[in-house]
Amino acid sequence: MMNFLDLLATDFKLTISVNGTVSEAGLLDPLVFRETDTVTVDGFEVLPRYQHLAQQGRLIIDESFYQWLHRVTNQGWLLKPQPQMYPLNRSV
Amino acid sequence: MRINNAGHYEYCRWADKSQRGAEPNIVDVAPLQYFKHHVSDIRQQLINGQRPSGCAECAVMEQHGKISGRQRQLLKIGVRLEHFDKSLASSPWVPIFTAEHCDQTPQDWQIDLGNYCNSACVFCSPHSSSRLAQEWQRIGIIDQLPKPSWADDPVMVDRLIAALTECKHIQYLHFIGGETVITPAFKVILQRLIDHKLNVNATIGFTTNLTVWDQTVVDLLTQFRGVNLGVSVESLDAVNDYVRWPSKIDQVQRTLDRWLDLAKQHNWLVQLRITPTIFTISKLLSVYDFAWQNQLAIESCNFLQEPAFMRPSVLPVQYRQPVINSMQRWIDQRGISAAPVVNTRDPTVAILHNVQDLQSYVTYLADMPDESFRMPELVQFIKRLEGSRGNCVLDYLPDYDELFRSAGY
Repeated sequence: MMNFLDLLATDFKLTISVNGTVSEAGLLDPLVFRETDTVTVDGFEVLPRYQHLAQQGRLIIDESFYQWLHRVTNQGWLLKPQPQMYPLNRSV
Repeated sequence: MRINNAGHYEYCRWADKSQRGAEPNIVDVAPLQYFKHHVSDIRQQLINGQRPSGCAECAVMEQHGKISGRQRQLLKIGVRLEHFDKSLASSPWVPIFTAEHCDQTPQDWQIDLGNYCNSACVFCSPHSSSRLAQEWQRIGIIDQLPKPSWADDPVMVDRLIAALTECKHIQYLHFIGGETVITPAFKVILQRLIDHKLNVNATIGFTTNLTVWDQTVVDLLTQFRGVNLGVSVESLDAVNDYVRWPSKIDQVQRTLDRWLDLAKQHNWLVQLRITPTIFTISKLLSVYDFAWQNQLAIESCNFLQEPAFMRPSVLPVQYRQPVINSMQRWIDQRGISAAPVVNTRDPTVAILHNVQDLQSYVTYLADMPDESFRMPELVQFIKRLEGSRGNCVLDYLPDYDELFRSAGY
């Protein structure tokens, strides 16, 4: 079984399906889709389900997909690290 | 983190009760010192993939499909069990967890203000109710009253306030007692938080027993960013009077309505807080009905562990089946499948959450081993209590006449 550090050393990818064409993206990569696309990310329906969040014809996910998913599915407040103490370093 | 009624810290508000008292006390160690230094061992255990023994109660909850404290706390950093790996690796907390030293400050605390309480619920303990403590001493269940609460000492309250004022990012403070509304320290701390302008960003959570009202406390609460109001009720049936002695259900209902009106006015989040026991498991649906009618969420922290002889699982299997059937019928009649709701504080999915929660009791009653061998101990205990209170369990639960009598009642 993986422990915490093993898990963080794993190079996770997002599996993205756009109109039936499957590709991969980095776990923390920003994502941009045309609002008319049919999109799933790791099996979660993104479009057309969240079409109402698109602006100017595009749905932009400019935070990590799973943080975005947390917000759009109303999972409650997210505690944030105190930024003046630790600049975010995602390389660990 | 948590400061419990005796002033001891706990690394998690959900941690195993048997370990309470093992951690340092606010009298000896300042809150932030505990958070930064003393919790590091636990953090390291988690990073190494170990399961601290204090996590056992959450494991039982998850086994029966009840949303555990672990799930609730993970959610606050964006981690979900159903996609644990990726949601964890996506969390902005990753570098904090792996840092050698913690120089964060707490953002989410539970603060227990002592046992100052006007109620003496049957499942409670002297550490959480001063009235029960006095009664237990009088009838010889305990020899000595618990030590005075840390929150009765103005120096300790100052110590807490000093720590809180260093926590500029404080998001949530949950207070419990005793009965918070009549606990002097509650009022003092709320006022001091406002004086330090921490009310601007902080949400206050607290639980009240629906027998008291203090307008000064209400006026203070309305100045905070938000309030999560927990209202304790076991049943809207008269059995609530027996369990939450000496409350009277008519007065409880009136006070409940008053809090609900206030909460609606200020857009507070309200949850009905239940502690199901062998006495109330068959009467729970009255609370679920009320929650359904008023679109409120129901929350119980865990499956009752102590006192062991009051666990719903002490109910013999043949008495459980009618309860299971009525609960399952309630769920089926609503036509809602139990969707997994982890965010139990999202009012828009309160009903879904309630169905899920009730389903966990169906599973619990169906799966938990029969603990009816504890019945004689239960009967012995309540006979002693009833001798002091002048009441009789069978007046409230006549269907259990044979059950209680066969155990020596």
